Amino acid sequence: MRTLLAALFFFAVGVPSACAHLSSDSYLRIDVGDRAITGQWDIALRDLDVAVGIDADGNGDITWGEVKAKRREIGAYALSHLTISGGGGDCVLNPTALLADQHADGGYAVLRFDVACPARPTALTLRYRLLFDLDPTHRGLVTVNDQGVAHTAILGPERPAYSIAFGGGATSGFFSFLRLGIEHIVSGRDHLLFLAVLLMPALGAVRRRGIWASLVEAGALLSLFTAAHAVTVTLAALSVIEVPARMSEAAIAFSIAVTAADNIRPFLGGRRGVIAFGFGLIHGLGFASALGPLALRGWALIAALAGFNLGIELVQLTLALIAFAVAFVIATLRAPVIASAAKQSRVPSTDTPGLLRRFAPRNDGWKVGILPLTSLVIFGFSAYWFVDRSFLLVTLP
Amino acid sequence: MGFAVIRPHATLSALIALVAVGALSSPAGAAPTIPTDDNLVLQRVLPNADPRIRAIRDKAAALAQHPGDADLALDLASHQLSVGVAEADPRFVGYAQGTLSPWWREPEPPVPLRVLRARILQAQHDFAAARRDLEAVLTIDPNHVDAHLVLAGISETTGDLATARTACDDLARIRPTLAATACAASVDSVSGHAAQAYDTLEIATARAPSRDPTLQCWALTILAEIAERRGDPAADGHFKDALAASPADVYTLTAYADYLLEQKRPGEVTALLAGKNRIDALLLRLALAARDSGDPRAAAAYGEELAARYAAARARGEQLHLRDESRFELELRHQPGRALELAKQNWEVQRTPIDARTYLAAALATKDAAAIKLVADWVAGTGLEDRRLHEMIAKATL
Repeated sequence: MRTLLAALFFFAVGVPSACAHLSSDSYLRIDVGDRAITGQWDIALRDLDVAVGIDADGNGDITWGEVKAKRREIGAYALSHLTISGGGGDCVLNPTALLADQHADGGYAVLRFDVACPARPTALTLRYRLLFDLDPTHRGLVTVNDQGVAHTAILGPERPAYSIAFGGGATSGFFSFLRLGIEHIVSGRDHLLFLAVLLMPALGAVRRRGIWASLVEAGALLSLFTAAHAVTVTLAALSVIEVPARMSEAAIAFSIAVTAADNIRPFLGGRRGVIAFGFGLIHGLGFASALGPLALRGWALIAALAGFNLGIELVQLTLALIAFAVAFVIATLRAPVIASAAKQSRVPSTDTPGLLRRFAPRNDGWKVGILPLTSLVIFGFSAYWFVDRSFLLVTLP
Repeated sequence: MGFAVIRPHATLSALIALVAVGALSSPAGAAPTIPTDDNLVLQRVLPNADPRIRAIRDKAAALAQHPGDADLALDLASHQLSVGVAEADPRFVGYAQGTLSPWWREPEPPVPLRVLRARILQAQHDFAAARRDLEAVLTIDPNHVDAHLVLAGISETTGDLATARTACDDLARIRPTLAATACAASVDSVSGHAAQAYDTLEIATARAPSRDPTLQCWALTILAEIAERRGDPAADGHFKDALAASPADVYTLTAYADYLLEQKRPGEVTALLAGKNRIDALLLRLALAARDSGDPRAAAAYGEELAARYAAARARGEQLHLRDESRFELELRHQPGRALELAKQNWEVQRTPIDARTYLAAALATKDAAAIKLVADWVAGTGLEDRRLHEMIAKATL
């Protein structure tokens, strides 16, 4: 009754400032430099006292000596409540210094730390969970400084994660996003596999139709694919559309399975261009989840998106050219042998080598053997991924 | 591929908050150092000797032994909330919410937990959610004393005087104590029956004083405020009696300081609130007192401190300070436009005589005829007897 009256008293009739002391906040700053990523985390001593117990003598005064004595506990507690990932995995957070500062609501411990990621990251994801178990009204006020451009977020139990892709000015943004696009497609086995099954028929036709006709066909398919994913990447980066990663990943597996099936038993006819475009839209959603919504505007945004899509396109074209070069070499190496074998076959002879006979172009060995077989294997994998990912889709919340 | 997809914030307030985060966390705002003196005190907290802290520690240990025990959680959370309210410290309100986290999102938690959840929501100014919980509790248990009392408080704060009065009547029917009398007097005094409410409450506090100092202080403060609104100098004595019952009460200290400032007695405010500047509401009164007693340097220092605290609250998107911040902008920063904006936002949340005064003061400073009319109409509609408000309205219509 007594506490209740106090509550009523305080809030009825005309509330004085209910927030007399301030609510619990921490200030987390991540600086992304040319060589290293560092962090500085200001956490209220009041909060640390509740979490790890700093006022050792319990007299109500938290001294610098008491803070220093608990530096290990403070570092361990804080850094175990923050995950930073980028560059292909979770980064290791190493405390480097402990300082003190005063903010509007009192004394803060200032923890400085190094962020060591598996590789130089082009994007960072922060997962914040400090104090949420003790005080759900706690907020982490996060600033990521990327070469002088600050991105900010307020993190709480409802929204504990923050992702950011880097890109400073338009020029440096273009190149860093170009790199991001390259990295993403190189490490994205799904996309490469799809491109492989998409281009396989054109590759196989190098000898029959000539290198240039095949290249034109492949180039057209790749361009349609790129145009399509550029559309969805842009829409997702502008937060116009938003598709959960699990859903787009299942759709990507599906696209690989369908295209592989068409290689085994063609049913799409001349509509492979439509397929390249349609599935390009879906793959764009996958790319977009790597990019995240961009906190960029104007030219910086245009440069970032152009860089990202161009990076993807560059890798695609390079790999396609290499594949065609290999196909061309095989085709020209085989051609004289086959030609001579054909010449010999006109003159009946018993000593035609059996080995050459097997390569003879009576039936295109690629079309009946390698293409369907490889496609079947890929079909199997992608069908499994599709089922697996769709199952996750249903079972995960 | 597991990057979280985050939508950009759409609301203006969120944008302002983000800008504020940027400003606060810029290097210019912070200068961390390594202190050279180990004995340097960086922060004061409630000492272990404080019985409330000991109680909270013991109860937290007990709950840790039996996690999920509703009775232990209820006990701990109500202690945390009462410290939060007494110290005007939202951190303890947050701890109380944390203690109740297993039940926080439940649609229908057990009645005692639900009443406590309502009180936490009230402390966080989520009046609508608090009201939903209380109304649900009262359909289950129509005789729940605490639920009626809290519902009356919220309804009066938000200007729903009819609901407040009904809740006070129910309270009087279930348990006719000083609390019920003060509840009814408080509502009546702002709905056209100030004289009668004053007499009833004066007799009740004098003849049947409560042995509970918190309750006695509460009743006497209501009495003082009725007197203050009516321009009765007896207010001073009532405030002093209230503080005699409960000297550290933040609400009474704030109200008495406002009264003294109004009476042009700033020196007494400085003495009354000495050493209490960690509480934002009291810091504002100290700043106003410094200004009025011709100490512009102290006023500026307090003002800067206040601005930093308001900015920090804004950075996290919190809006618990609106009324005081409006007054700060008007009286210390001389930004009537900003003051009016804040007062308007505050009026959407709560509508007590003090909120009306703040709104009207900003409206007068900006000569905003629509806002002046809105407050004047509200005063006329409730039948509120408030000499200061009527003077302000008269000045506006001259």
